[in-house]
Amino acid sequence: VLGRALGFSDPEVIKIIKENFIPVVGDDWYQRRRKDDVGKFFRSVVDQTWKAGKWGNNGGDNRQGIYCFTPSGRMLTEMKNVGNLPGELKRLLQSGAAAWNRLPAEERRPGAVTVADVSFDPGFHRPVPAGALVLRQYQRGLKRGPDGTLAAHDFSFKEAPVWAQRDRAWILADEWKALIPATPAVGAQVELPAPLKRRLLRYHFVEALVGEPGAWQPEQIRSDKLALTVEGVSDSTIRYRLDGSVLLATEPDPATARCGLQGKVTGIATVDRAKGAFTRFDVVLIAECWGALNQHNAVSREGRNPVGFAFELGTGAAVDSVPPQGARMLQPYLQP
Amino acid sequence: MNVILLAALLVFSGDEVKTENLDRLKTLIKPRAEETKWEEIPWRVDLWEARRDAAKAGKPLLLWEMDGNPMGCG
Repeated sequence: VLGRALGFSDPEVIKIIKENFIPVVGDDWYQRRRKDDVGKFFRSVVDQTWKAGKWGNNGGDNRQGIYCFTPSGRMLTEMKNVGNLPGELKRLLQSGAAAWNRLPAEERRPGAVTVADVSFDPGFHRPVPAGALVLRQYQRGLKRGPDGTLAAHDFSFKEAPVWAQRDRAWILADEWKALIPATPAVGAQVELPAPLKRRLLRYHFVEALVGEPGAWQPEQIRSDKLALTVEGVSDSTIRYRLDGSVLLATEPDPATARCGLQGKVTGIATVDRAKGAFTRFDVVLIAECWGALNQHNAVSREGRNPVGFAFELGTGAAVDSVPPQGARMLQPYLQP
Repeated sequence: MNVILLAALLVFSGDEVKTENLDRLKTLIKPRAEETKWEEIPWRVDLWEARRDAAKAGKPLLLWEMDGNPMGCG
């Protein structure tokens, strides 16, 4: 996340939104492509702005921005991304709230608009797969001091501060169930299902401090030594330790590869045996990263720099239903 | 004093990638307090559900649309 959320961090902006609006976030990649009633509604709103038309067969130009509109779809006000400008954002919100308040009372009253149940376009709708575990993912730029110590590296990109980036990772039901042995024994190695390992490597061990992460090609996985070991067993729990190292690079020689990631992994997971469910799934990767995988995944810092990745179980909150970025191409993500 | 303690939490040396450092490494990597203020806003993540909530509440919608979900990689 770049500092474009700065505007939404302003206390006055937060207050205005809480008091006056129903706030919602959207991934434009899905929204502008979907052919269902949600997509039709979105297009009907955007078509009231300077971004009207030019939808093409595949959604057309991006429609990123901040929009205020009524439940019936009447545009109140919209602006380009001003999320990093509290003053501009505040003016936009005040303008939207004022436009709303100028509407006839009958149009504004609760229940004035009926919103029907709809079916979603499966091509551009990404619910969490049944039974899947959702991991929250974070990554942050790090730096080493002269003595090798590791610390957060606060830097800017295009004048915006670069904050911890976020994503989600899915572990499918059959994959996490395969990690729970029927008769666990301390010291036993548990094999990570191959699709799970490839999904983590290809879609989640990707430096994307700015922009959108790309995905490694299968042949770009140069080394992956990940060992999941049963570390403790009791009547109630199984505890695992994850250790390993990874090397991902666009070319075979990491010394000359255009883009790469080389690092070490550690983790702890626990299972509640009575529930047959994971209660902890913490993984950290500390890696040297360089280059960029694609044009949407810009080089955040020149040279080779440490980046920290952290994963933990989601809580089932609404934010955990935001799909992984890699799931835009669903089948390759599920079966990498 | 708190600053010193925080600095100690955020600094590691040498072979730091091991399970005993896991919680401290997570703290180093995860969003800091100043990076999560925008999450105090009760963002919905589904436009249709938000539309339904707005209609029920009699309020307008505010849509923050990015290429890459703002709550994800946006």
